[in-house]
Amino acid sequence: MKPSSKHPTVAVLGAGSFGTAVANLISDNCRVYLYTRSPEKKEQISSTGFNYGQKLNERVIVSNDLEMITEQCKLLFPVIPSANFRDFIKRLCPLLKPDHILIHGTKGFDISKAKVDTDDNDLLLSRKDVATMSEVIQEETNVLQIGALAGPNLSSEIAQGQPTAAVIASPFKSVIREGTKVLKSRRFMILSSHDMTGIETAGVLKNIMAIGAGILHGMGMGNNTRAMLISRGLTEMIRIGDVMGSDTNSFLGVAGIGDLIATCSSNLSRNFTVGYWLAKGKELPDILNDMNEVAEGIKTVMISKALANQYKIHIPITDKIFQILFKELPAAKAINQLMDYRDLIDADFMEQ
Amino acid sequence: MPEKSIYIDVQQFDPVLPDHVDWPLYQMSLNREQFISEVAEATLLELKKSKRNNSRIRDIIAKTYYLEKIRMKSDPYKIDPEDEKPFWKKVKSKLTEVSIGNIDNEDEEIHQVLKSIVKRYSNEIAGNFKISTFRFAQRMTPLILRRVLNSASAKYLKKFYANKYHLSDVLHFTGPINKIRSLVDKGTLVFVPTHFSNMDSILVGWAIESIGIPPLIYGAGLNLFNSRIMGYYMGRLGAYTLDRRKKNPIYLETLKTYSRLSVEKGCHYLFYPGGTRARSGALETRFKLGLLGTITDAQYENCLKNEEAYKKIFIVPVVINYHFVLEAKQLIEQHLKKTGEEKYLKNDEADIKGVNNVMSLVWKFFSTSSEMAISFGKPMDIFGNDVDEEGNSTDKHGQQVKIHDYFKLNGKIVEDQQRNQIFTGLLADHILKEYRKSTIVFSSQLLAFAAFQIIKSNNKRLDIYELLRLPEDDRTISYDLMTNALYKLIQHLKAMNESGQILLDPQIHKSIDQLIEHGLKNLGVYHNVKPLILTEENEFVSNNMNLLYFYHNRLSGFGLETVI
Repeated sequence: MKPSSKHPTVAVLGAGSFGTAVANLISDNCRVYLYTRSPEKKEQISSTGFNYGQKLNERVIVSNDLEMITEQCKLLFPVIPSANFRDFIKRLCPLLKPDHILIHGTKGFDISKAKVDTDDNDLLLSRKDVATMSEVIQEETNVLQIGALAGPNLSSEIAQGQPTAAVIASPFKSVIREGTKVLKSRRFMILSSHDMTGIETAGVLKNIMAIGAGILHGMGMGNNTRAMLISRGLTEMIRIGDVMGSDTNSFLGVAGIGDLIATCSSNLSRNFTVGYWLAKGKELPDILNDMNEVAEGIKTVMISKALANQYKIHIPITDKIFQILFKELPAAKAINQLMDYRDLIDADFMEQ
Repeated sequence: MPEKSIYIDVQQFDPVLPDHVDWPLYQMSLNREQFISEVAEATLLELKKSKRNNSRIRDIIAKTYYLEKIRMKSDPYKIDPEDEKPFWKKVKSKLTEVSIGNIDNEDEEIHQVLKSIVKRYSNEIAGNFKISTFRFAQRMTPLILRRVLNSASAKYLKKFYANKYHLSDVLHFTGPINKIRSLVDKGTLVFVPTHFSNMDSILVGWAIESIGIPPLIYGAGLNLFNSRIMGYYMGRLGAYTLDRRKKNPIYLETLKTYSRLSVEKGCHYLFYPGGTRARSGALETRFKLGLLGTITDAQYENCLKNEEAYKKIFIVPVVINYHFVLEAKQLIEQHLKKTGEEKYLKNDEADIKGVNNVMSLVWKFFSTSSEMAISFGKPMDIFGNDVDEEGNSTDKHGQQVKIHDYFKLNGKIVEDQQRNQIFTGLLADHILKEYRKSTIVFSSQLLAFAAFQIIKSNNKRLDIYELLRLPEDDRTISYDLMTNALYKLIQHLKAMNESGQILLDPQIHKSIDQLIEHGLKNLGVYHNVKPLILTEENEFVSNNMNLLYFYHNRLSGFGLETVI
């Protein structure tokens, strides 16, 4: 992308906290559009120069004109909550051509093609019922050059200019190259991967453990317990990742264990907050009512549980978090039950 | 239940382009020598582009020489040219001279050696299409096939001169034939069939001709040219040679360039993306991407040459549906040996003799009067988009797509080999999906599938190799159990058929008893030891588990395993 272009040739679609952070990162290299659907929000961001507590760089141009954006920009970064992702992509589809490049930054699964009910004791989902966001783009559009952006990227820390790293994953080298050109800076390291499913899956599954970390924190547990959750949780993530068709290595990199540590260590994340308040005895609907943005982890717990049922995978921590969230299992009891497990092998995924 | 026929009468189709002057293959044959030179030049360019400097070129020549030396010694063919040993000897001496520094202009010398090898391979690969031979074959093939069909089957009927069967009685066609025909003059058609038998080329070639498509080029294994008559005809009917023994980098590059340039020039094309015959009897689940990649590259080159009015390539998947495969015994044996290694113990039966002679295959095939069906899949562009009768691509939402956009980056068409490779992989997935949708379920396959699955579920703890060695008692299935399984399968298949996931032969719509009778009659009709028989006690017994497994495999991978 030419930094000197009169108008931006890159756009971030979705002005949530992460979308805003990504737009600011890109603005280190070139002018960029930040798309929001709502005219009011556009007005509010433009007039205050702030969004989600982040100051917008002057090279970020807020717009609600999707047609103009897709006409001018060939490189698009959709960062839309997973619950609305498919609808948004369907709306975007008529404006897209095969020479558009889409690198999404959404961490969530789409199960709009399946029906699930958490009250159902035999909750089942097969791999084809669960779509990653890149698969949603593939299914809905004629764009083939697709990528995913994931890593330890807490928006508030990015906004403070602290250094961090992310992975751009795509089967296409060109997608990684183009994404890197606009995102890489002295405060943002970019790594590459061809395992798009793995990178996406790692980014989604870590939210389960973030809820777990929040629960532990709410119960006053310390670092030992959290480290146990992170390391055992990683094993479960790898098992679910395997069902999704991921490469284990992706879970050991920046977007895997890197993102997992960041999310489980920060009490800023939404999923962590959900866990924290659950442990403090608050009801789930009340917690969700008090939050501005979506906690992706809740849906992910349910999807992972259903996949595990279908493919008979052993994921005890996820199972307990599922029961705490949906079956009123007290957190303390869940921990006692988990500690009762015997004959566990450490890092067994390394033997695969 | 009413019988629903999915088959189309092909006698209604005239040639789309009656005048041979309009055929791309004919036009190319007029300038054969020039085309061969173009192939050689383009191959040299590709090799130099990918290998960059001369020391690397020297390495690939050395590697090629080494592999050719082994091939000539370990696997010689009758038709190998006499001058090949002296040729390679000369290559070796040139390489030696260069390596000891005896030559002034080293780069030029290396280039000349490479050029001579590429030219040799280009000449060897190139077909030699002759309109007279083609016209002759066009007239004679249906007559010969019909005569073979009636004479061969008459052995059973004891009426040698009977003319009971017409070809259309045993060879069925289905698919969007009119659309395929309409695309003939809108771009280049690339037919990509499944591959189960050595007979495929003759039948598919004849089938494509019957629906009025002008002659096409196709790769034929050099082993088929071992028969002088076959070799003579195939070369003149559009075949180029494909020597599977030659795995060296220079040969492979020349072959790919020949394939790419032929498609770029608009020659309609036929090749098997699976490479060789499906040994297990199952539908292909993956392709070798080498030749398929040349199609992506050809489309890229066409778009690059003329961004506005580029020649388009249309992919037509073709599924060949047989009741039986003559080479089944050999094929499954090879498959089991390869996958099972020490676990697979060969039966004590006498060694299996190969049936490789194509004419004898045709004769034997028709002698059984067994039906077959050729199912043409939906034509698509190389990105898997639907195409309309005018050749326009439309995406899944019905929007028109300009396919040159796929090759663009920041508004310009750019070269990107890695991107094209990924596109090729995606194209393979689209073809494989279309194979499944175009598969026609035959009564015999369904019977084999049900029988094998029942035996398998009765012996859950055994692996496949142990299953194949089961004693007779454990290979017996009651009539009720079979009808029950068939009923469930048929219901499931009908639902799949309604949602466009598979096709059903009219026999599947008949009563289960009729289906069983038809299936038993056709399942492995040619084999001495039947894969499945119905005993006087009204029980099914498999006398040849390998074959039962082979024919069962044809319906594996459709998710039917969980239905029974």
